Amino acid sequence: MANKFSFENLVQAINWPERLTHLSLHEWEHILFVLKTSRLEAYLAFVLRDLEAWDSIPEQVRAHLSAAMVYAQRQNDQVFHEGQEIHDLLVAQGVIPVFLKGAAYIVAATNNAQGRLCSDIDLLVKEGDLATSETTLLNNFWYHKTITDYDDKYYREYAHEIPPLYHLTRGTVLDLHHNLFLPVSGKAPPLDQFWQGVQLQECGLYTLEPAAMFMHSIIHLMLNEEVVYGFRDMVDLKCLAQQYDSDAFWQRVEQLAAESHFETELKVVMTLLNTWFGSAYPVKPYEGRLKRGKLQLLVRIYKYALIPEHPALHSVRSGLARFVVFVRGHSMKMPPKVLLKHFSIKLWLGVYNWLRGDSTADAKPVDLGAAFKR
Amino acid sequence: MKPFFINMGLFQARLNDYPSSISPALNQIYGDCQPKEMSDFTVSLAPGSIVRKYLRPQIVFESNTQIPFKPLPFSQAYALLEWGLNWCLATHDFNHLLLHSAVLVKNNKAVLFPALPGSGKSTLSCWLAINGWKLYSDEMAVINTDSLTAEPLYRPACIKNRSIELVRGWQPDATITKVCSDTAKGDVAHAKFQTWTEYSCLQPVEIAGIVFPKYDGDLAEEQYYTIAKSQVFEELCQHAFNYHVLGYQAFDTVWRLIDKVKVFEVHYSNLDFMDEFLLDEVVGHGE
Repeated sequence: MANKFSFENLVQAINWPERLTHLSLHEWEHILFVLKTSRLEAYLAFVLRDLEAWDSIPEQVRAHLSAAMVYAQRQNDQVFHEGQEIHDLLVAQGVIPVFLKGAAYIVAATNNAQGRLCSDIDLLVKEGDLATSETTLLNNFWYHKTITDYDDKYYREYAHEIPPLYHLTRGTVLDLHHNLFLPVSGKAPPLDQFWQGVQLQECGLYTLEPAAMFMHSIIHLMLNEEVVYGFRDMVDLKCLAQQYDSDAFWQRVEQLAAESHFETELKVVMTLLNTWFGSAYPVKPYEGRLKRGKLQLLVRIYKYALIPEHPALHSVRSGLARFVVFVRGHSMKMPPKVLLKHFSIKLWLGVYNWLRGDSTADAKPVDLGAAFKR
Repeated sequence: MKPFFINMGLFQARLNDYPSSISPALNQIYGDCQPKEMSDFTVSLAPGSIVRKYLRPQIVFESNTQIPFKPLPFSQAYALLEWGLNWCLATHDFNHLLLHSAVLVKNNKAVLFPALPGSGKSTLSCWLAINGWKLYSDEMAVINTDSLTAEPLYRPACIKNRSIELVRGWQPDATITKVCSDTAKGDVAHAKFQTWTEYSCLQPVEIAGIVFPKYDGDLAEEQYYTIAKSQVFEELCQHAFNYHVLGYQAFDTVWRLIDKVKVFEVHYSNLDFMDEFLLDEVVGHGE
């Protein structure tokens, strides 16, 4: 690895972490910055800590990795704490709360759990239990932030989740889902099969079964208009695939993909897993030329779109690919008519607020005390 | 543009992009530091947008694709950099307990001055630094969670408003950056009281005391109190930048620290008194 850091270097770091011990401090600097941005620093830190190589890593680098582990461990603990509280609240009302994505990996202690950061807790309940769940949470220190009437309508009418809930004192963000994808898209998977495999984990909390976790991760990655942490999601999938690799697992994954009509998405992800992580999972090619071409195109697009958005890895190709993903993500979410309406309203509100001078940015004003308490 | 390496001792930031207007301040404060091979942070100061480069120019602090603060007027670029570096430390270092506090050292013993803005903490830091104390840090106490020692940082003190003139009066040849006017904290400048060579000799030292200073110019007589440990505990937790991340370790560190050090709240109007008081009651007069 010369001065120039490439995406291949990042993939190699995931595949052969023990080789990182040969890096110079200068090379470490580059890879640490990219790992931080891709949210993979703590993951790799835990992997390295368990290798003999840990002691031969320079002290300055170990300080970064240790700090990342402390931060991730703290989040991990918090997920269990919040998870238990939410579980107890909802179970008392006869609701089965199923943790999804990051929280689920942590709760189920999958191979990617250590060092997995999550910006919020995702929870799935049955659609019939949604109202009870929301009321129960609202009565117990969770609240909705004020959002525009349109955004509220968007969540309630189109989306597979309600507006985010925030914990009053701890600030934790909770996304309450009743489906795995937007019903308005017409592509929301039938959930019977997903619910059938729900598992009670050792810690006493519910998650989907491994194959369903795997499939949901794919749906989330491949149907979203944003793939900011897409590469991290691929590492999640790599870990799950390695951990649960068995005929039964893959059969179940294929069954879920077929039933939810996300076979193409599964094929794209499997092809990329094979390409990047040297696995050899069978990916059945499509028969028809058109379908085959579409699959190849999607693989090409995602191969570039999933490269982490870091200046060191920036290329015109990945920028373009992310734009295509952005457009595709939106078109998957809503039928054209609804999408047009959605865009028009969003554009109008944007212009209106801009003219009014209310372009609220995400960044905060400089306030030392508050800014540090992220 | 050639990056500027800001070696703060424990950490180094690589400043990739910055307006030439801050070069004098950068060279004053960090010009003599010895760069390390690896930087811990990558930061830049850039104009907000092309429009804002010309129209009421603004400056944006960025660190490894993150933009933690809203843009500030262009003239406040250097102050924004220092605040940005504080943010970098506070949001990345979970190997130490970080307290919002000044650290001054004499006779190989450290005193922490955790204080709210406006309590005269920085003015006191500067005065002590000019009068024979070593300024380990003005803004952030970096505490080793095992040994409970305070680590030095190569960072300037941030002085505000009237203090700027006071410091100039106390030490006419002090190294003080050009004043940034009208920031959220009023007029702001940064001052340093040691060279890189002097800094390089500093070692982590034992913490002997925690003093909550309250400056009151109208005070007829100095007053000092001891404080209940439970109250100190609460205060320190509130002053810790990373308490919520360190969790139990922070709890344990703060508790062990309070258990072994002297704690006072001091209301003062006379800085000489403060020096005497610290020597008599906290760090001792040395051999």
